[in-house]
This record gives sequence, structure tokens and C-alpha cells, in this order.
Amino acid sequence: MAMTNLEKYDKAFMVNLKVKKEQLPGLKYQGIATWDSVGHMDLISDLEEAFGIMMETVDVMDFNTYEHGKEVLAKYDVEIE
Amino acid sequence: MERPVKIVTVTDSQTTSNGYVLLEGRDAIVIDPNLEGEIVETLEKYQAVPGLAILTHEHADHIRGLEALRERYPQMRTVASLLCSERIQDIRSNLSRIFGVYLMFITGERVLDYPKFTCRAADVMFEGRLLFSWHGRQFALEGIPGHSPGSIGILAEGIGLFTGDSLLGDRPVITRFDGGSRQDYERVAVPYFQVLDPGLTVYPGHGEPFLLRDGILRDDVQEREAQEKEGPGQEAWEKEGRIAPCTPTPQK
Repeated sequence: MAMTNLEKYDKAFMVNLKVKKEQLPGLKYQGIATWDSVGHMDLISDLEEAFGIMMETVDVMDFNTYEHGKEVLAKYDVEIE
Repeated sequence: MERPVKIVTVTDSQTTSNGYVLLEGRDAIVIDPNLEGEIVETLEKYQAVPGLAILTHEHADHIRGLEALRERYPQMRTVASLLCSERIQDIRSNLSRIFGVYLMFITGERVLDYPKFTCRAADVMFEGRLLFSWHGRQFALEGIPGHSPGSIGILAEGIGLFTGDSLLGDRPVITRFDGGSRQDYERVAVPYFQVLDPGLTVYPGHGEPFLLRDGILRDDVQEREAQEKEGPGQEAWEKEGRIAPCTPTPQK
């Protein structure tokens, strides 16, 4: 069965930032050691690949929490529900 | 007296990576084939043909021109550490997967067309150390993981030391990329540099050549910790809502 957008979104965080599902709510950039600038690049690259999009610079910079990331992706018509 | 080897530096303005072409008569060695076009131009200018391409490490900005060069010069043999050879075959390990985003951090602009690519395995692979002679000069290639698992140093007799991104003259070494290791850097790479002649000329993967004694023997994590103790550099970025870059602004 195909993964939902939410599952893809969560997976990108869990794989790239090495966190568990229960850690996702409230997660923010530089809130944990693995979400630094290098982790951010991995995360963004995976999300772009997963959703077939290419994010603008301002959005890559603006993508700073687990929750706000969903709003950023909505600009690219990717609904995470 | 030994005839000096001519060294031509090819710098990629997009990524600031350095590739080097060593010329001895019509024979050449390419170290880090970053830009196929400019390397070919150099080779043709000197009517030379590359017998070897040596990779200091597996990252995209240092190998982007490799496959095109291999097609153009089928006799050229590619030399790399075993791990480097494995990792150039994977877009995550060679960083081409993230390079478009990475360049945004160091240039401030998004590079939308950076290709995700892989290379074929090297023709000559080694673990530990590889020694060979080229026109009477000894080359010693040695694994120095830290910046990446496949990183090597190339000590070329009478020429200098090619360090890739494992030792730079104007910025600390990054050890946080995929497979990088601060522990390996301190355990293997730093002692490797410390026993060599400090007066050696270093040809780095980015920036201008420098003397070994002037190289920055620390990684970006140490640098960040020092900055956090010293001042508000990181905070200033945060207040602006921006993410601090993981390397300083590249040279113009």
C-alpha cells in the first residue's frame, strides 16, 4: 500500500534526524543535535525527493519546525494531513 | 636537477572546489576531476594525456567531471581508496543528493540544477597506503578518514601534499557530512599531518595553496564550540531567522 503524505513526511524526519515518531511534535531546528545545518540539508533533500518538488531558498530557510514545515510544503501543493 | 612538474589548478566557481592537473611532458595526473571542460582544455593546451585520475575523496564537487573524463580518455585509470570508490557510486554518500541545498548555505542562492549523479567504481582501489612512482617521483597515498570515510592524503615527492578537504588553509574541516567522523579525524588525519614536514606546500580542495604549518587542524564542531564561547556569531544568524552556514563564505 502506498504511503500517505504524512507517513512520507514523518519518515523523512525520522530517517534524517534519527528521531522516533513520538519526538516529532514540537521538533525544531537546532532543538536537537541532529537537526543542525547538515541535518537540515539531508531533510530538505529527502522531502524534495519524496514529494517531487524543489523548494525556494526562502522556504528552505523558513522550514524551522516539524509543524511549520507542513505549512511550507502546502505552498507547493503538498498537503500533509 | 629534476625538472619541476607543472601544476595547473582548476577551480569550480560554483562550488569553489580545486582540481589539479600535474603535467610531466605529455603525461598527466588529474587530482580531483571537478570540471571536465577546463581540465580537458588544460590537457589539450599542453598536448597531454592523463594516465591517472586520483580522488582525494568522494564528494560531488571533487568528482563531477570524472565520468566525462573517463569517456574521453579511456586509458586513464582512476585511483581511490576502497571506501571512496564505493561511495562515489551512491548519491547520498557522494553528497550530490544534497549539493543543490548545500550550495545555498555557502552562496546564499539556491542552485536548482545541480545534478544528482554517481560514478563507476575506481580502477585501482586500496586500503591504508598505496605507493607508486611517476616519472621518478614517489607518490604516497594514505587513508585519512574524518572529513569523509574515503578521504586520502596524496604526498607527491618534490611537489607537495594534496589534502582534498581534510586540511584547508582558511577554514576548519567539516566532519559532519554523511560518514564523516570527528573521532577519525583526530585519531588518524591529525597525526598524519603532524608527522610530515611543516614546510610542505599543501594543495587543498578549496582555497589557495599554503604551508602545512599554516593549515587549520580542527574541525567545524570545535570551531563552532569556540565561537559559541567567544561571541554571538551563531545567535546573530538565529535572530535573523537564518541558519548559520556550515562553512565560511568561499573565496571570490
